[in-house]
Amino acid sequence: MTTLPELIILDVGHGGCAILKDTNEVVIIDCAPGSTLIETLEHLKIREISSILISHADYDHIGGLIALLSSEEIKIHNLFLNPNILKETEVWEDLRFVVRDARKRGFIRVHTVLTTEQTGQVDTKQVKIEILAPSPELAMSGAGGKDLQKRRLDSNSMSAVIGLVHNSHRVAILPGDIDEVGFNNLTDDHIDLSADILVFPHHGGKPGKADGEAFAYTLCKLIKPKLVLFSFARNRLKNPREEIIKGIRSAAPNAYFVCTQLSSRCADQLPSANFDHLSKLPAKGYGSKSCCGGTIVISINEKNTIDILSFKGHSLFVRNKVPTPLCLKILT
Amino acid sequence: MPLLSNTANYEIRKVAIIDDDKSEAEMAELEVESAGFEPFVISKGHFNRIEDLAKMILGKVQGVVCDHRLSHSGLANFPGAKLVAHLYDLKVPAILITQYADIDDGVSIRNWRDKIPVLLSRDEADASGIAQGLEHCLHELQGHIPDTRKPHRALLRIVDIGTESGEKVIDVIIPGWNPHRAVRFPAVLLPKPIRKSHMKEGARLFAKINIGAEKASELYFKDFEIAMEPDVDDDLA
Repeated sequence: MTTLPELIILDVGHGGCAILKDTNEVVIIDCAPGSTLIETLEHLKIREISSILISHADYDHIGGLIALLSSEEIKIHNLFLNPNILKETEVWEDLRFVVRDARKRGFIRVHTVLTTEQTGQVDTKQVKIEILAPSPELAMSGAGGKDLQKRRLDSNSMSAVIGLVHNSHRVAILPGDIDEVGFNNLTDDHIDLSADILVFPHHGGKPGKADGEAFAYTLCKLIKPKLVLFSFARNRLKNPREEIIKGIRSAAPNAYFVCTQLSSRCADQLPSANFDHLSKLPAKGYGSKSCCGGTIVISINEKNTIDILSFKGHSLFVRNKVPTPLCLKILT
Repeated sequence: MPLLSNTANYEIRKVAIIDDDKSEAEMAELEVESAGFEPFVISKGHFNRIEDLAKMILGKVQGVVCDHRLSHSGLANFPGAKLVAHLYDLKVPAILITQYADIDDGVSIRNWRDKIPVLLSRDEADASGIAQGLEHCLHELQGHIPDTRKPHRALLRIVDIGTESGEKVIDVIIPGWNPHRAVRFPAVLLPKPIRKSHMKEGARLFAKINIGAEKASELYFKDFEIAMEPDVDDDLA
């Protein structure tokens, strides 16, 4: 019997990081800073990664790549990312140093392009990996440039949007930190964006200059998610924002929400709980008891991917231990 | 033959308190006692060699609470951090205590931080802090290293070089840990050839660092290597 692939959304604190684990292959989407990713790979006894896809060049999505590429224990075959001329930062320069080091150690192929053209190049045995954005023509302008409608592009607008398809059914969309401009370009190119799982962009924070509620509504109207995941740190930026939750609720009233950490909007003080609803995988918030969903593991099984019963423990935790849960408050 | 802490049935019953300040040693004695251990105080005498002080407690105690600054009243001419690291190699659970955390963290303590599982300020060194601390030390010596203490090969960038307490120090950014926070360590940690060729602002090195650490004071650095300059044609510039 074939083992089903798994999608793991890591509790990395503020940032984004997901692992797609198939029978013999592992693909990582974004690498938030800290050691959670490396600890998780160790925990899962993963020593080889087929591909790493970086949605965009912000530190909270590449910080962990610097650590991962430095590691001598983990072999990485392919790295896909779009260079960002705006990122003349020391951290971007740091990344170049570790890329050089990894290449010198002789195992990695670095692809300095990640656009819709790469769809099909990073598939695993059971999961088709779509790159839904950016298009090559958008990537040609790049962050700092303008799209064909003359709208200004920044690194968030240029976020690579990753779709995961299992047996012709799109189970998840991971849109990096896509903003309204990037989203408009995405919808110009794709009519059907439906997916069971949405890892909400920008950690549930403000989508650039756009109205948060309208942005979340439009995004979720098209994606029609059954499960919306938020990856953020409890102690930063007070995510997710209330208007974002409101927008999602209007578009997808039955969607279930899971946040990696417990938002300070939902609980001023950390509740006392045994946290036995969490997976056994490393989670950044585990030590400080800041987790809500912690590191989330989802078994990918085409149309049956979302099994709400598997979130029963989380649901009980939210209902019984969280004083003002944003997800429930807006529901009622 | 004393029982080694890496055996499963190791039990901490008697705890040595090493502190050259008599009144602080007395306070620690009370805390150790109320944590349920039998105290054994060393606050007098003079030890030139670390081995001599270690010999005095080995086999007699199963745990140690040691102050960092031991030279004020001439108890020892080496710092407590060095003794705790020595005891770590001998598999004896030992906690380091300091009242000068902000001053000592980045310089004298950092030298041996990889072998100091628990560092407590004076305020934290109460009965429960000591009991929990010794338990953490024991756990680590038995091979259960917490994620916050595991070494990972990581890049560091030198952002400043200066002097503190008469010692040459280096401030670095560890982008895989926190790009917004500079961390200090003594220059002497760098191997001589690297100190000669790469101890300059902007230089990048690799080192084994516990990047899972929550606080800067927990970080340790070892096994430094020079990072090669990026290729000019890597398409990332």
